[in-house]
Amino acid sequence: MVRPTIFPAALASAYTVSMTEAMHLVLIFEDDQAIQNILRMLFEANGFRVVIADTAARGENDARQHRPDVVVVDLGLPDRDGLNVIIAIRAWSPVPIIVLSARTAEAQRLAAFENGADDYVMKPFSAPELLARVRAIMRRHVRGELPMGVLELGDVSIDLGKRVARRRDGRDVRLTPLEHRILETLARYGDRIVTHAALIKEVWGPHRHDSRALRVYIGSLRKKLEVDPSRPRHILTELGVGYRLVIDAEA
Amino acid sequence: MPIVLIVEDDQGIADVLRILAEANGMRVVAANTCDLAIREAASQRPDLAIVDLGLPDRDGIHLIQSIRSRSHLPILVLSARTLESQKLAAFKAGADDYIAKPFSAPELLARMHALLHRGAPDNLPGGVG
Repeated sequence: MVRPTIFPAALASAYTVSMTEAMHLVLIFEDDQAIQNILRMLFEANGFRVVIADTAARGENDARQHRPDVVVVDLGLPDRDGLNVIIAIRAWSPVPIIVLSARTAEAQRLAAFENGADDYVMKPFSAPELLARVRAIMRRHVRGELPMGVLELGDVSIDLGKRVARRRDGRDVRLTPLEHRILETLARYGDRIVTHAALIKEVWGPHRHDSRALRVYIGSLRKKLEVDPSRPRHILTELGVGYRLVIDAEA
Repeated sequence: MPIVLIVEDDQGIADVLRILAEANGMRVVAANTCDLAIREAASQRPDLAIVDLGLPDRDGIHLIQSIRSRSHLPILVLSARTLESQKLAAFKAGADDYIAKPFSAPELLARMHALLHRGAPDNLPGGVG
């Protein structure tokens, strides 16, 4: 068993978590109970929601069900190799994946990157460094093509990294995690159309095909973000195809 | 062809990085000081920056902050500094990845590719456009 180099004081970082933020969800594939506990404490103390899976099968199911914002994968899982987890998730999702493994050979690290991992941290690990890498990878994932990850829709400014939405007058706009995820996905495509199928796949996972929930959430987003939800100027419907985000339209 | 800004004052390491990048289809812009790197980042608009922290004129942390204040250019730190506090300072300044010297060239290349490909909407499934 490989323990992290960690001290309790290092678990809570200097980052403050606004109560208005929709907390990010980290999915952890790890079968070692002691490391599970440490990772849970580390991430929960720093404002994340945590789901832990002790097998590849459970974790892949959790990934489809919970749609995490970042995934941490141990390679030595009891039922399947963690590399297969990376391949399986990467087949349907661009979610950031960090490998956390006791395997130190260069060939193993390269295999993880070649199959879609975004970062690789070796055990024993530094908890603050792991947290810094998770934050960096999420920042990079969210910002995509947006200027510093901030979306301006009329008088609402949405910080996709912090998941905070505010009107110009300072009032908070409360968006759910799913609503944030829909906006993030639309924003990554710029002003191009995102098909219903692509949006559903990225937001809910590969096994959901019903577009009714998507329509409900799009309607809810328009009520919160559009001046006139019946005549949207930012979240546009492309009939029979999907949706398109217009970022630079002035309300 | 992606452009890589290599910020490194050790000529030997800079040469290795140039060969590695060019052999893998990248164009290289080199800078051996912080000030030159800031100018090259603005004028050449690179797709990735590899930054050494121990630069002769100013600390690489200053360079990371300067780049990050005006763009989200992916920044990979390549440094002989191995203390946790030094890594955390780089990430806090806006670095995206950190590799300690001495480094493995294949792993550096794998991490460069991961940074270059991250967040590219064209790589996502199902887009129309």
